[in-house]
Amino acid sequence: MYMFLPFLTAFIGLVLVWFEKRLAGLSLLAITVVILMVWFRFHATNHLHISL
Amino acid sequence: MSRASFPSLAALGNQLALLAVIGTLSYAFVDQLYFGELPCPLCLMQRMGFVIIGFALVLNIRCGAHSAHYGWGILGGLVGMMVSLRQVLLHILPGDKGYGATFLELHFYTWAFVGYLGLLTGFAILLMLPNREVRSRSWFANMLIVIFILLVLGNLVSTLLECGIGPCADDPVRYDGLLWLRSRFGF
Repeated sequence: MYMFLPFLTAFIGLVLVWFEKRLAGLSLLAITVVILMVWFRFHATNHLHISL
Repeated sequence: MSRASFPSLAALGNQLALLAVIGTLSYAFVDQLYFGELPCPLCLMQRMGFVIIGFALVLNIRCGAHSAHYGWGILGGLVGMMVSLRQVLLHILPGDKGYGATFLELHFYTWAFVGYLGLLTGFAILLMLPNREVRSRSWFANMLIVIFILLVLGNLVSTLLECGIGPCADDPVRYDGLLWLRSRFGF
């Protein structure tokens, strides 16, 4: 999986927030949270072989 | 001194919480770069949880406090907390030495759990305070935000160098992405 992806979305979002693009930044924050959730689910089920 | 010179309590709280996130992420880098301990996939997810909390704080400082900012920050913190608890449970059996080095006799994932607990409690307190004048353009707030953005960029580069675009090793001992780059482009 693309493990750098949430860091990338967070970085782009933070740069947008620096330029006061609040809604765009908030959207990227939401995307980052969702990626982290999916990432954890993927890692837990396919990688650690545990059941969540 | 005029009243306008002082930040509101909520503004101060947001900036101090961001300082705590910066401290946590910075120490993670010290452990990675100085002590040579590469972050495992679960460790990277915990870093991400702190980044999300910091992102919500930056939104508050830069654009003014909003319940949506706190909401997403709390969600990210809860996921990060779940990841750190998962790692605590992986090493909870008697005799298990745990993963990686310790800091003040606790492993980093245990500290991460304590950190999330503290930051989420901080968010709860910040939500109770009046949300006026949280927006700040002071040199201190700007410096915190710039350092935080650089730390996120550092994490992005470090993750790419460690894992490339594939999955990270469970117990990473070398920078796979960097090795791939070296073999691909010969530097």
